[in-house]
Amino acid sequence: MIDTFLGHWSPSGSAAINFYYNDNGNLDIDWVQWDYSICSEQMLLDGVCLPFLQTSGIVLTAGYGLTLLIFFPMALMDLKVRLDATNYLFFITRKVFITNVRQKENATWQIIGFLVLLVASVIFVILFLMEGVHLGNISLWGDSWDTLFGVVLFNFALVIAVPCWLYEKEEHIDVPTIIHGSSILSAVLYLLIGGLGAMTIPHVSPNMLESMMSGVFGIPMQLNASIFAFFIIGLGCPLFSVLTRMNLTGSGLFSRGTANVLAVYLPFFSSWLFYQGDSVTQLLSWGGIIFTSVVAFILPLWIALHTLESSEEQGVIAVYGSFTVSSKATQKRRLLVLMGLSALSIVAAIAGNFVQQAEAQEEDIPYKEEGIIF
Amino acid sequence: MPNFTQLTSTFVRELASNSLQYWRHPYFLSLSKHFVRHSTFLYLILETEITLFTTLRTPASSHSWTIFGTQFVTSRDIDLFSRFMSPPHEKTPLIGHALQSTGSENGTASKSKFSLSHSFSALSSSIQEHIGRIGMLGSMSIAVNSLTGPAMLNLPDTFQRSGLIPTSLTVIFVCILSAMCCLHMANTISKVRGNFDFKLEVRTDTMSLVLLFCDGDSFYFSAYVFRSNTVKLLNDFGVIEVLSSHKFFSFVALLVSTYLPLSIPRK
Repeated sequence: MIDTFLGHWSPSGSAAINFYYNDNGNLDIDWVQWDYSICSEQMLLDGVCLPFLQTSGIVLTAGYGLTLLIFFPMALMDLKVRLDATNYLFFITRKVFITNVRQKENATWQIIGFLVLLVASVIFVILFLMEGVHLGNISLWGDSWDTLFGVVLFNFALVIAVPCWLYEKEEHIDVPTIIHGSSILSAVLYLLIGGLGAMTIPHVSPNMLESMMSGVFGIPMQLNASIFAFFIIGLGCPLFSVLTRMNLTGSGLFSRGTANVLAVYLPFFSSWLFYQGDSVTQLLSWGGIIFTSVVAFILPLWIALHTLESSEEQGVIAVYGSFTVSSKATQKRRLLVLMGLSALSIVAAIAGNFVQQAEAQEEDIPYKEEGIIF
Repeated sequence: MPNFTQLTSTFVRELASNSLQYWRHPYFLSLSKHFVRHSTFLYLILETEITLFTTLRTPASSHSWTIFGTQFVTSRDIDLFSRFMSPPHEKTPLIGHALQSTGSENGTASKSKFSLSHSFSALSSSIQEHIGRIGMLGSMSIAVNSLTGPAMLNLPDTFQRSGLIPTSLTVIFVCILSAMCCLHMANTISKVRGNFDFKLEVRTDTMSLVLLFCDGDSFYFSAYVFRSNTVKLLNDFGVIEVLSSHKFFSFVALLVSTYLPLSIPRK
């Protein structure tokens, strides 16, 4: 994403060090540059004008370097500090800022992300409407449903955050209110952005963010997409590293130094090696499909079923609206129905992914996987 | 001020009276093969106890004081520990010993002491009185941020290929399904003994169970399956045998996942 940004805004475009084997079989190093001049308007619209895509070998790009410079120090911070850490971004004295902000712990940073998401989404909607909505761009029933569940299902992974949030929330916060409210708001955002985007842009690219950042839809859209990419996507990278380190050290498996090597230094300094080719992409794609589905949609229900059978404790959450304690048999039936629906959805998603891969092989085109690179 | 001599003598006397159960504990037996020799015996026990006390965070509103590194806390904390620790679960040998509390100061202050087996359980968990500070806006932010992201911009393409009605219905259906899973998850966590108000820090332990099979974002939590408190909680739920059979898988997955933070796929 940063290479895309540089390619458009920097006079000399983005640059990279290119490692490749020459005709003699020796390793060679070259300096390459990239900008939008090599891409046609149609390539920009299709979102296929990706930095250094045509460069053979491995590239270490300026965008990667900037990403490293911005996000690597964050990954070395502690979770609370990092998440309190607009201090890092704005160079505010750490001690003063943390004293003021720590009361809200990591919620501060989450709120900033949430507000950016809302503002960016509203701007997207306004820009779509200004472009002009054309109902002819979208059909009622569509003609291809293979990736439908795959795209939708794996966005809804709130359950991963639930245990942490329950512990950190104020006592008076009502759990169903937050879960219902956030689910509805998210669904509305999905429907608005998805629906209006589809009605506005004919033959929209699966990688719409790349198209928007290329500037083909105008500068306001480009800026908005860039802000969206930085805040919503970029800041997730160091967070993953911090979580990894916390778990490696919290479990007592490794010391902080070793955990930093595994969770911060190794991924930040070696992942550029895996950006070329799509084997790793496919591995991650299948891993996400299988594991996310189990974590978000099967295991919570499975645990609930287990506790229902093995414990006499009554929970305090009104799962089905009104808090009436039904018989165990009724609760079990409900859980089994939910598990059945979850399993069907997951099977549909996995089958869709198989179909998509088969179609891609038949048409002899690279396996399509939506993804983003910094 | 507490009566220093009385508290200290009580503390040492109770340590001695419980020494038998320390001997029986497998962990202690293992330790004893390598480290424990006569004079170091009491020291090890004391050190463990002191570590336990200093690990536990005393709430600001309660009274506490420290003597030779041992923290003494008020009865409020004892209530908190008692709420979680007792009654002991028959499936859980690690928490088979009830909380003991002795000594008092002006009728309110007490000295808390756990058995060694309690120590190993409590040391690896974060059982502490906790006051949540995330309000409505923060909660909503965390939830919405977890539910949305860059994938939102893949949806226009999905709408065009799969149609307005199927895509809308799928989004709504999955939204409801996800909400039900979250509510069940929260309900299950509230069933953990003494956690009806979510004040016990079961997040890591619960996450370890949930995220044992998860993807790149979530493998990060899986190391917690090795924590003893996790074992205890899972024993409560009767699913410990599942974890045991997947420890190796979890470990391998954890190592693989360390590569993932920046491994965002390139199209």
